[in-house]
Amino acid sequence: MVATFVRVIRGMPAVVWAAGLLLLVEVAAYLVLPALVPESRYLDRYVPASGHLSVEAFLAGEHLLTPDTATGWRSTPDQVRGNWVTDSLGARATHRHQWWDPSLVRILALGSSMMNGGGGVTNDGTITAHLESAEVTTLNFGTMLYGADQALMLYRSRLRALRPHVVVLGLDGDPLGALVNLYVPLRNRDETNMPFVKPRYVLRRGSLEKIPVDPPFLLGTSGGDSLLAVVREYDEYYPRLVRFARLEQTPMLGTASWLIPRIAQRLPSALPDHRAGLLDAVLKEVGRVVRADGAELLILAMPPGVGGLPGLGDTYATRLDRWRGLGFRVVDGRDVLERSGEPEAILYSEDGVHLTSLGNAVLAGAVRWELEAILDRPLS
Amino acid sequence: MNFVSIQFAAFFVAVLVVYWSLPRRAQHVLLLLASYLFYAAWDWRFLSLIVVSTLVDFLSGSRIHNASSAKRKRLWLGLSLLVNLGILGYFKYANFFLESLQALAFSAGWHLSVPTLQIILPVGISFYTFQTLSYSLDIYLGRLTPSRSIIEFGAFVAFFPQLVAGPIVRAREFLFQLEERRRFDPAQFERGAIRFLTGFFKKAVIADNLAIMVVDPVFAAPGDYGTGTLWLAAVAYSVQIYADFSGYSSMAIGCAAMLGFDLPENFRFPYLARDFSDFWRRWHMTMSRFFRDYVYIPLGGSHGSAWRTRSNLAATTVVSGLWHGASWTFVVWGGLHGVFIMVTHVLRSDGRSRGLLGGGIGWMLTFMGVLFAWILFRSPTFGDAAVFLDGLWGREGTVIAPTPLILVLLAAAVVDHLAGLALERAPDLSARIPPPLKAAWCVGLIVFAYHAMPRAANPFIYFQF
Repeated sequence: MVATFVRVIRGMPAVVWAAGLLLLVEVAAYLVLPALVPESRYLDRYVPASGHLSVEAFLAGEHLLTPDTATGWRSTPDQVRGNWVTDSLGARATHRHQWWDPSLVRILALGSSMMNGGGGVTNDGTITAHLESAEVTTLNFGTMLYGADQALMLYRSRLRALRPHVVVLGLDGDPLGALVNLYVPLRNRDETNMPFVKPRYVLRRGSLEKIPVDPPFLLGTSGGDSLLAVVREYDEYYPRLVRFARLEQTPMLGTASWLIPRIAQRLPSALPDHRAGLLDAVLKEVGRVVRADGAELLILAMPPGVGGLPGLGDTYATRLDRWRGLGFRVVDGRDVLERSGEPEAILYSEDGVHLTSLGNAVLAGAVRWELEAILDRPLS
Repeated sequence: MNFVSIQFAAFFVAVLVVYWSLPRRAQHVLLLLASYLFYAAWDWRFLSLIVVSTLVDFLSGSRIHNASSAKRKRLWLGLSLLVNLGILGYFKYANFFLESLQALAFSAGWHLSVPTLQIILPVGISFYTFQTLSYSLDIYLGRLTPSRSIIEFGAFVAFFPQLVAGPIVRAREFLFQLEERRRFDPAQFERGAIRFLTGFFKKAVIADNLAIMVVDPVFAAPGDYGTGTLWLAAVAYSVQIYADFSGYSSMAIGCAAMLGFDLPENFRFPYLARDFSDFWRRWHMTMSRFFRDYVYIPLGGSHGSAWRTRSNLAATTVVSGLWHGASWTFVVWGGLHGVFIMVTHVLRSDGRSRGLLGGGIGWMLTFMGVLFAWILFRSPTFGDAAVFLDGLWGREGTVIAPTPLILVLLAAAVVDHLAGLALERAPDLSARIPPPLKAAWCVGLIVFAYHAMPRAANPFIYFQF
């Protein structure tokens, strides 16, 4: 066995030399690069040069999102961008009915672009539009990149006066990750080409405490230093800089640091997520505020996108169990789409994440079932 | 499953480990299963085509060999041709011929309503049908005896390293390797690993970056760009298609070597060619020899008048153009090369003009001819090609400035060819390079690739053929 190994090793000297050299490069990079890579590289990774133009448009009110002191950003009111049409409140709505018509059930939707519908569908193709009937009216405040915390902040700051009967909260993607950062890395490039900064909650002695952010400080992103100072203090992802500098510059460590979290994500108990408690607290607070207004809360767990089948550790199902355990009514969006029997190609839009009008209609059907259970009567 | 993917890396490492721990016959079963799994990862529905092609040619080969009369031999060969060319014709060319027929009828004043068939082109169909065809043809021509094992024959047809984009391997240069005793050879494994890495770099770094930064945007809207950028895009595409396809071939040859097989070379520094015939002896060599053996020579080859030889050459290049794609732009691209080769032939037979060939002028004329033909090859329509070509002679427009990375990538192609020139002069040069230097070169490629390769890999250009 040993002799064979020695023969094989001796037979491939260049491979052995290359492996040794590569190891040397990796060790040297690990030890030296953190001292050499400037901190601003952290921001350069996520904010393209053109991102600053988006920030300027955002602050000038020329973006599809507008700055908001309470939430960081919200949908710009009264805008028409292709399929995307908002009303004076910034909601996507059909306005088939009068919101205050006393004969109607008022449904208010919160969440991210999944709830909003995105640019791939018209206002008539959103989940809320498919919910509407002779007895139901809706307003859709789903907002790009919102986490559950911002949904709560938006509801508290602007929407309580609307007195809905039911609030449907759509939760998607990474509902934990959305809560903990001020700065949203990676996601901004594809969707908005802009570095977002948002207020967030922290748990202090079991209570939620809000860390506010003043959006105009985004102006400082052109220099990078002010944003860096804020993320250093508040952003839970800031330690990525150290990891980036140490582990993401060389092929072996870089591949490993890319691969290991992806494998760990699929192992449910391997890496317990300390942020789960924060999400629980935020959801409980949403439930408390909504009930205080005399409304009911329904959580819609958004489907995980094309190919999002249950993995080894089905974190999606685990999350839903946890929310149900907290006493929430939850619609399992993944299960609903699967049971519809329709192929993913016609349920999801081209980006593989957002839903088509048909996909939204399928989800709306399941939401309607839950609404009937909540209201204890059939809806026309 | 793309060679440039984590999935392939995991798949190949697993196959290698299991493969070298099995006895020879079990290795063949593993190769067959792994190859089918590899293909099924693209689209499992089209596995049935490979299986049908394999079974038909295994049967035909045996029947041709054992046939008692020439008529029966022809009958079985006809079956093989019918099935293979039928599959290729239906999946690749049916819509092209129907649409061309409709256009022809329309130009003659007839309104012919031809339905468009909803056909997906199976990946690699042009490659594996040619391999199975070569098997039956070689048995018919008495150059090969049929394989006795359906597993071995199946493994030859579906051999995953070269299944979807070549090199096009002839049965007679592969089947005997399956029958031979195989032993892990560290030197061969090392050659394979270095070859794979070189191919990976060409594809993932040179080809994909040039595609994203220059080629794709310019060819998508050639009318928007100025003269300098169009020239840059033309040169960049010449480099991209070479790096893409020769990169894939190198990866295929490297994978095969790590599994203990030798595959034929497919490229020999084609932009060093000093005339167009020389270009086709260096570019996609396994396809060129297939058309030489099974089209050019049966047409009469060089046995006949000079003009007969020239027309045979031109006909062969037109067929080769059609093989590349079901579109008139490919046919005309092939025809253009045919014209270039005929002109070369005429110049070569004319003593006074012979000086134009073989030297620097010949190299320059060949490179420019190939470059202009690539514009036609890459353009979706003749109209797009015309807009592109027109812009080469003076037009204002959007500018893509050559960034340092673009210049480095173009320079890498030049270095590659200069190394080729050195290798042509000293074939043992590679063996004389000390292992630490080879290793440093490999580590340099790995680190550069890690930083420079685009995060989303493009599919290989030749998969579509």
